[in-house]
Amino acid sequence: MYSRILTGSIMGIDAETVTVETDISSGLPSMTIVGLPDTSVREAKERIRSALRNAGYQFPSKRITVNLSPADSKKEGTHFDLPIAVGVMVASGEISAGEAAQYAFFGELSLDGKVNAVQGAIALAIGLRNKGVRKLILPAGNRHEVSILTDMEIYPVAHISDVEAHLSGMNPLMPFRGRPRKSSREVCESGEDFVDVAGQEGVKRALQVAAAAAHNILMVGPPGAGKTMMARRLPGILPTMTYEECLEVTRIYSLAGQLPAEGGLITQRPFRAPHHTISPTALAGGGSKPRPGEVPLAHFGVLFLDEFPEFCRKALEVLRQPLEDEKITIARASATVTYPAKIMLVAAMNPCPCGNLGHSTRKCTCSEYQVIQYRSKISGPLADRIDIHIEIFPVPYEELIDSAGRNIKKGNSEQMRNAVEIARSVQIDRYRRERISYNSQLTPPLIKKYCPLDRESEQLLKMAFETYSLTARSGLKIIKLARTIADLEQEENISAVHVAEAISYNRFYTANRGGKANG
Amino acid sequence: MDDRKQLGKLGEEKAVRYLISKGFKILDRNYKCKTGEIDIIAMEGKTLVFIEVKTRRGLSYGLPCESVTSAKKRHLLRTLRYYVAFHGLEEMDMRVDVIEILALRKGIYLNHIKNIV
Repeated sequence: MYSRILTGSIMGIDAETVTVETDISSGLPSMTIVGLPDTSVREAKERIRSALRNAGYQFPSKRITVNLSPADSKKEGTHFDLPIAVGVMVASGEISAGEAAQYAFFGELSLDGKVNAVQGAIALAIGLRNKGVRKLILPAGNRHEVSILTDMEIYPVAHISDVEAHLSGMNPLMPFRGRPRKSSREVCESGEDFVDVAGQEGVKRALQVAAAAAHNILMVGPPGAGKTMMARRLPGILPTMTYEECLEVTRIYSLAGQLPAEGGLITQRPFRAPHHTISPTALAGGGSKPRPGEVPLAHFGVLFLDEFPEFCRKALEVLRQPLEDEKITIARASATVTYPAKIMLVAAMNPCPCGNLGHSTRKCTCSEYQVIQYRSKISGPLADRIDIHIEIFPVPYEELIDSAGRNIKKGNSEQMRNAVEIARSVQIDRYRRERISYNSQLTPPLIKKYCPLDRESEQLLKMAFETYSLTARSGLKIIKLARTIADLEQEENISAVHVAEAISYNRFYTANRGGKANG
Repeated sequence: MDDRKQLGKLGEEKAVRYLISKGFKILDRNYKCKTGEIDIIAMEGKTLVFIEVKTRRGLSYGLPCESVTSAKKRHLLRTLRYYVAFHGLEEMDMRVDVIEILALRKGIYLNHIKNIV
């Protein structure tokens, strides 16, 4: 007369397990669902009643009480249909309780008993998996999407009678195995290669340093110098994602409804390049029922903001939390959700509104005031959180084409990525006992512990401090960068060469704070 | 007795005969209390059944059962609760049925609709 069935409920990005308790007792026939169901869940009773009858089962004409436990969190979505229906069938004795207890269920029911696919299936499945669930009965329409979870047994069902046949042992189903996933190699090769970028060796180097420890980077240069082109190629030199990272990205895309139709795991690092007219909400995520925005969608990948100062100020300030805490919190009346946002920010801007400031041949037409205005859009705190500032200049003709008239090609993405992967593994190894993985996450006490400077380096840093009147924070940034550069060179200790390179990545903002003086 | 009351009476007689033929035990007829009225109260096996009978002469006003609206159901339920409480029957299985009867010239048609709430 009483049954317990396991299912889940989506909370932000995570899913919680929900136990569907069903009790059938004497009294006037009725069906009540308690445990904070919203309308879509409450409507389940009409679908279940019809589905069970039309599939040839008895819908008990008794007093049915369904409780969705924990009863204090709001439940929404149509995926509760199947677990509630199974709960009713177990409580009325049509299915044995012992069998059903081994599985978690989710799925929407049609009035004829068919089981329909639901939204966010992969997010739900991952959540249940993380809570220790290993066997899952789900709609056949979601099987490809969820089959990427290789450590789960999934049993797709097309009709409620399949569930009964499976659990009663009449017609047991085999666990579904998806097609093997594409190797990450294949995925990377579909991208663009740094080999296509002629010249710009210094910028390529800076991007490689940035990639080696997920440092944020700001590129400043005139239009057409290749900022966008190089940013697009950045995901290609980032290390391939681990299986867990792929799952997390896939989960966010599933919640945003942006998974490709054929489903499958997202194995390529995200590259998000929102237009500068984007609203703060679209950047962070939101809506009455919160959905992830561009920042969480760039999780483990690159968020490229071209025309950085053109973004509205509020949108830019939204970036502060993810840059600091690697997550983004959205508070709405219905719920507060936190999305992970381990992003690598790549910002690009012109040196001045007309774009020609600092150009060797073209003349800048902006007034000093305009330049100051333009640059002041990026607040100091935000600029401080970007580790690398680098200036880009247009490539001279000699570097584009060699004397024989051929395009010059150097340094492809694969070589760059290999170096990055080595540098990252060195860092992960070093910070095994800490709660961080990369140099960009170093905090002041950890910098002291892991980034000792020799005398020569220290002197150099002191000189830079005085010449550029650096802040304490920029000083720490330089040490962090020097650490990354040393790792990239596979050197144990930071030396003056590394510090010098790190200082060169910090010059723009500090030196040009004054505006046109440098032009 | 006016014509309409007579028709109702006829319908109820018909319904009772039908229920007995189906093995129902009739407990009460035309049960009245301050909250309303229930036409027939019967037992089918271990289930307590409350039955509303609707009789009509023709289809010009729609099917008889269509006149059992949600307001009518509410009245029925209120009376039902009173009855259940009065006799201390809370732990029993119970349901509400409608029997619709069409008394046409060519004959009488009866339709039993179970569990309307």
